[in-house]
Amino acid sequence: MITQPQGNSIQRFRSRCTADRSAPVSACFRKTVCLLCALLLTPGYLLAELDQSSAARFLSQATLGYTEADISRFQKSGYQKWIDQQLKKTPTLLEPYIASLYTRRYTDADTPRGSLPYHKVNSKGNNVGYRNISTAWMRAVLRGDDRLRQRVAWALSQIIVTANGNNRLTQGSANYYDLLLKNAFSSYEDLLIDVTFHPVMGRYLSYMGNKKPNAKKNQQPDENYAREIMQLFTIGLWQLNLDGSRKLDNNGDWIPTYSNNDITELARVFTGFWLSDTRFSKIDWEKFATPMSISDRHHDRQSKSLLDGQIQIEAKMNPETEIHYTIRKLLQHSNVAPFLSRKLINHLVTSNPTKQYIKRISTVWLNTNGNLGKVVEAILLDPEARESSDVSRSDYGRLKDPIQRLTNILIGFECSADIGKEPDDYPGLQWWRPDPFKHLSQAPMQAPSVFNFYESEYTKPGMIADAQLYSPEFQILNDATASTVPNYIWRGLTGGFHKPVSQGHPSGLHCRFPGKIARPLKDTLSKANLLLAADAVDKDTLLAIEKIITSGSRPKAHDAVFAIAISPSATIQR
Amino acid sequence: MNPGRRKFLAANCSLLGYSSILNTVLNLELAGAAAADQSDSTGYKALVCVFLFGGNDSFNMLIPAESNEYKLYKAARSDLAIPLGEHSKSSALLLPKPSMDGRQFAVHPAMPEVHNLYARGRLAFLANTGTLVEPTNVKSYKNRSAKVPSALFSHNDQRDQWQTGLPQAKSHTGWLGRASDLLQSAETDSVLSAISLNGNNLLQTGQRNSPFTITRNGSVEITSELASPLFELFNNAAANQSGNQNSIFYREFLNTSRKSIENNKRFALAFNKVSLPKTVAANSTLSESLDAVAKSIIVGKKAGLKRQTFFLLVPGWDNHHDLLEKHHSLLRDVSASLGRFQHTVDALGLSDELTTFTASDFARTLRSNGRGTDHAWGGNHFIVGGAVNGGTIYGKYPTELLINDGLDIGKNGRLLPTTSCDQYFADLLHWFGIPRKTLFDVLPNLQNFPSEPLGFIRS
Repeated sequence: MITQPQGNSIQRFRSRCTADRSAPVSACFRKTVCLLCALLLTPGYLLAELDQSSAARFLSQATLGYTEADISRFQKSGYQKWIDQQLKKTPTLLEPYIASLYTRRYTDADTPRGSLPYHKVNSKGNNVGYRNISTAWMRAVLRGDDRLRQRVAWALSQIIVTANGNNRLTQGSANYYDLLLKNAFSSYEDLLIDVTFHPVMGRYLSYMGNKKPNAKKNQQPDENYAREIMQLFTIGLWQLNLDGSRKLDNNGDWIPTYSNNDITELARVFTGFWLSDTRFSKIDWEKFATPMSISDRHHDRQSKSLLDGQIQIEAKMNPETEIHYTIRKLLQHSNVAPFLSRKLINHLVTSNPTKQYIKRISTVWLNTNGNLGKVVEAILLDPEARESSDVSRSDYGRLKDPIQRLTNILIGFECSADIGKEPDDYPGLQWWRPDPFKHLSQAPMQAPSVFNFYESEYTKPGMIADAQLYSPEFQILNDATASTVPNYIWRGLTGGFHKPVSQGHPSGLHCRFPGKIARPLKDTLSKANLLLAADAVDKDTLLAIEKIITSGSRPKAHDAVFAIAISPSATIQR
Repeated sequence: MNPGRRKFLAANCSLLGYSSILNTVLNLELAGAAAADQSDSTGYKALVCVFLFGGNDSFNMLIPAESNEYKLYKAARSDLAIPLGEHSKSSALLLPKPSMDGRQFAVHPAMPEVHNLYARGRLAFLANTGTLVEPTNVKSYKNRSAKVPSALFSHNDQRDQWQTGLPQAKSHTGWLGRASDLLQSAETDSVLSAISLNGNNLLQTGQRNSPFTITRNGSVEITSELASPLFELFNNAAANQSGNQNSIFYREFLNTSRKSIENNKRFALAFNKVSLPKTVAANSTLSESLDAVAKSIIVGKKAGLKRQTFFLLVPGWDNHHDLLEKHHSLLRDVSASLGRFQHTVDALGLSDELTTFTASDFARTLRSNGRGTDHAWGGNHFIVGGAVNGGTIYGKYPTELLINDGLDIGKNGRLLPTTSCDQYFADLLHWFGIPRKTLFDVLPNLQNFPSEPLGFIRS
């Protein structure tokens, strides 16, 4: 099913260099030649001197937010070196912080009125509330220098969705997110296998505890994971060409990738999963951060055949081997490369990539066997991500999701200053108050369903539909969120991203704009323009904004940040 | 029709090779002006859609009570069967009146309010209804001679198809939105005429109309006084500049934000003044949302509106595991909330003017997977209101609930629908004021099905 590489010459060359490990040349020699050739073949748009705006524009695609220091670092290193460095960064994880909450002793200073808002020991056990994941997530995003990894993991968490919302699964869920962070640049196969064995996914899509057919009891296996792993995590509903377009049959109709019979067959594969070293169907809440094992007794050992015989599973295969085998075979389906390449492009660069863009990335996917690091690199360095002729297309770009709008501010204006260094060095950051999901329609690991906060094929009626475009993030832009998101930003900018201390909550994430930005309003505006909008707000508009702000009484720095943050230029990533 | 209009419609209806449907939807536009004259928009009427997202296991909501039928039900549902018998809290509640064809049924024990509304003739059930393109039987499904909906059993596709009424295509308009286009003239207050409690949806989206989203507390006003002048500025700047402003996303975000900020203000002004007659306190998101519906109706009537539509989405129905427990609490909420809502509606004297109906992606497999059920097709629904010919069951509830037999099209008791959801919608729309003839333009597949009304609503 592997097809000939068809990307441009540089990509073809790069992917050969990195993927073709069987080539009969010594590794050292190959590497040297690769380096030389890569330099010679690097297109001009990646070598041109980087001004601040284009650096910022790149970072708006590759990170969840960037500081002025990030920009100058990037300007010094250039595209390739920056990416190479980022691919090697150690992941900043969520679980250590969550784990620290279980053991932490609270002082009166932490909780002025004696309440323990994020940690309760009660009759149900030692509970750290699920929404603490938001805090752990924000800490990682603010503190980590693994900016690219954090951006990619955020995308992956919206593709391979889990959201259990159960206080006893807080640590397990943080561990699940860490899996996405650790595997953000690994092979997609490794990632999907780890995901499949993760008890948090097992519980979310209910195959943990799924049993083989039982004729006597009139029971057939649960089809949940079988369906969603195909529809959402691997091949999708319709057969695709390498460029992401749908294949058509003789009548001009789309061709389904699988039938319901394939679902019932695959459902039998995902049977017998349970928590490791635990009696089947006995819950042990401590085991949700450990890969599941498969019970021989409850796994369906019969042979299975699906996707018109593309996947044949012999009877009595070892269950673990069977899962590995099935996932590998699923990932060999020709839909996988275009299906997932498009999703990743959507999350990082643009909602409506051209067929050629998808085809180039799909080709990298095929040539690197789904190496996410290589795929992400290719997405970001593709001419369609970089060259201004593409960027100025009217259908180019994406609506930033509400979380990205927020992290752009928090990272850009270095709100991490208050956080402290160690996981339990906690001065009180509690980002989940007020609840980000309620106000933003989005919060880490809290999607309303496995279809994420928004769907990749959503088309907003009106001018977007007229232009026949997809607009995923627009699904959660409506009359209510058009207010709630700016209100959340406004409240954060003026009073800190936490409940007020007067209500018994510790002081937390506070962007210290007024203190930190003791400069003229003009400077704050232009700094916000760079950090939130990659300089996309033009000079006349900046002047007019300044006029509006100064016409009120006592203009403040946060007015300037707010003005840019809600502007269409900052909200549409282009 | 001007070419721009045709292109616009084509863009709104990307199809899977069914050009005849496209033509029908195009005809809708031609028919529009004429139909608007014939449409009945006298008096006040409102339609409220309660969408049970995830797939309601509705063969446990409406349960056969004839002894031979119950026996088959029990065998098919095994560990998930709801007991039937008197004097037990966990037993299904026997309905006091039979179905149209004279058979006994019972409702889930968590639904006493629904039982009560049925007994009072205010609620009707519609059995085994689902997305269909044309009349289909098990044979024509299996040998693929019938045209069937695309992506059956997929949540988001089936959710959308229930709302578009075009199961063979990707449509960007919904049947209620298209109907509202016909019923309302351009100057109608669009903010009040289609209100969603749960964000964007296809159902209420037409060529002209799209839903206005509020929360259960009403519209959300912008806090910062800077926001309005800023968006005016961005808008003026966009009008005379190129660069970023040529972006479609840029303009859409700008327009939505601007419009929403103004509309939220306007809506709040009216909504926040309204209070409802005293009743038991709302204790769930659904019942609070229904309170917001009642308030919006008061606002709408005051503004002189003749027609309003409402969309509510209740999540949580996709229970592949823990089904019995979760389904119980969901049905409990739906029943209690709608019972309470009807009290409010009665107290406001709106009983005959308001019809509430359920929709869901699909029903679930009859067969248990040991802990829950999986995605299926045809399911049972109910309609509440003073205009409803209630106290009976319409459609064809299967006389035999069977697995691998009867209406099962796929292994685990995935029942082929015997009534098209288009027929369901047609009766609702006719009551709402769409002439019979024009219904075909709003619901193009309707012409493939029997033309006589199902009869659950006065018309």
